[in-house]
Amino acid sequence: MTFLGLIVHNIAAHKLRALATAGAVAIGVMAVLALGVLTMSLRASATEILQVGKADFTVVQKGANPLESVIAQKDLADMGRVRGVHSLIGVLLETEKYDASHPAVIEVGLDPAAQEPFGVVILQGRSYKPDATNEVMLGYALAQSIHKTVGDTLVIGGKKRTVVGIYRTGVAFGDATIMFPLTTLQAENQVPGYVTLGFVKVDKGVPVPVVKRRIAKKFVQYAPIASLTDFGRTSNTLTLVDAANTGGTILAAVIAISGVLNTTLLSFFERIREFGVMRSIGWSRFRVIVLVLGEALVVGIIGGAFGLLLGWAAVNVLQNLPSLRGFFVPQWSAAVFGRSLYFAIGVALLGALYPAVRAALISPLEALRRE
Amino acid sequence: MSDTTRSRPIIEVEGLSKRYGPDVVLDDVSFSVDRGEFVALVGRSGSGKSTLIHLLGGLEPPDSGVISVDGVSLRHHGRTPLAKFRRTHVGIVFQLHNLIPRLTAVQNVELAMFSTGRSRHRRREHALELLERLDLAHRANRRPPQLSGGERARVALARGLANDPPVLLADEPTGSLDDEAADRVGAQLTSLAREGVTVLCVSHDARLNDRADRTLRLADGKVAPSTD
Repeated sequence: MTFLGLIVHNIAAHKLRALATAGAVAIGVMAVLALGVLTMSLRASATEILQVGKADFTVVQKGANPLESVIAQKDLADMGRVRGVHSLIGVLLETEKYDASHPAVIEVGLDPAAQEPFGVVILQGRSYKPDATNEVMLGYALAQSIHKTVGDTLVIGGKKRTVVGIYRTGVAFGDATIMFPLTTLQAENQVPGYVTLGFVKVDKGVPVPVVKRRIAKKFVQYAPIASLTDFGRTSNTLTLVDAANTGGTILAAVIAISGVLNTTLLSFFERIREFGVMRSIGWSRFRVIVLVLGEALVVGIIGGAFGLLLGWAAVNVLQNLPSLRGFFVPQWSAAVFGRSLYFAIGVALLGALYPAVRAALISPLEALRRE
Repeated sequence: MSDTTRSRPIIEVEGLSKRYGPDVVLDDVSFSVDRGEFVALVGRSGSGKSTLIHLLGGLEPPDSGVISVDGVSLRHHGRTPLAKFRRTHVGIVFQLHNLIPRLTAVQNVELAMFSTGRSRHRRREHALELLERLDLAHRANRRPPQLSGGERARVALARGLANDPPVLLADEPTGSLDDEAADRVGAQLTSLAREGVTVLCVSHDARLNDRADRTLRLADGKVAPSTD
């Protein structure tokens, strides 16, 4: 019998206890994995919003989230005259319920003339007319999801519209949107003269940071952002997302550690005579600690594996929630899996540490006298 | 056993006292045991026999006095060195055997050999050798609940001998056995003593005591004169 064999033997002999411990770890890992994927996906969505339009950088209202930013078109026109700016496209973004499965479809208001420089490729049909009030185009992902194609009609925003074209933007976020003439969307949302984001392209050979600085200096109420770092400076959304992830992870860790501690402590009381026997036949305290922690480690790894499966299932459930459809595209990465496994090992060892030390410190005779 | 070897005490106890609260269990006890001796420790229940075995095995500390086993003074040991002492200098056989029920007989014996530097293969081989010697080879893969009382006692004895200790401390190893099983265990202890293992055995069993080289009687916390 090897020491590892003894560990496995002990786990197999206390199956229910091991299952309860693994369950505590699995629940924690599931939460950590789902939160990690959700956080990464939200960050990726933020990046994608910035990437739509193939711009060198995006202008948003300082301190606002991308979908809540308000920029006066008059200011955008002034920005367009800043030295080094090649072109500047204003886009209005709104959200509207389509049906129960699509409670928050993103509406994009964009002039037909700006579509091509914005990176919109019409796959089917044609563009809407600049002043059309009942024509829309659908991103191909949304079209597939709501089963509409060119020539079909749909009701959104309380009005019947005809789908005149299907497009793609090359970015998952953009391909799940519905596109309107800019003036129509502005009028319907009572924000004439205002857009949400400005997408800036700079002149060839001009360094992007230089143009960003010029705009930031002249238009202090707006923030030019080209990266998630810039985004983080102008909006606390990502900070809040990260904080929620950290908070959730800590909470999951506390719950999992408590679960492991509880079951391992119960196991310690059940096996107290056994530890007494080991100590009385010459086992060192260190070896007893290694035995208990080794058992926790193996159970933690098993729980971690189950947790990864549960996490994967949880992410799939989240992905299919109507309120997250289109916004939440799961971003799986080795780092998230690695972090979840480290979490499993960490909570298993931390939860078992106190019972392990108690098992090691108990007097052999005191343990042998226990019934 | 040569006279020269026998003449050097392997267990030396001097001025040993132990009390539990107001109860004085051992009071200024002194004695010695020679290498290879088989000594029966007798006395009424509560006379301190088991306590003496526990003190000699380093399972609990004395209140005062000096204990030396195989040249190791227990007074100067912390708990971790005591674990090593129990692993290398003494084998302990408990009255209730204290086997781990879910492990097989051979695994119970192997359990004592972790941390001894023996390979897995060597541990298994040695455990099987000991069980064979105690006529238990055919029961090696049985768990304690599947064994008779006598068999459990012999497994406990095998575990006590696993690390080839020079001293075997046994606390009523035949206490719960029928006559035949008790005789077998007694014969094994006698045989061990002949091979040079010092055996100190608590017993109420007159036949087992008859096998001993001498008897130490504990009464009122003190050792009464030895009888051969």
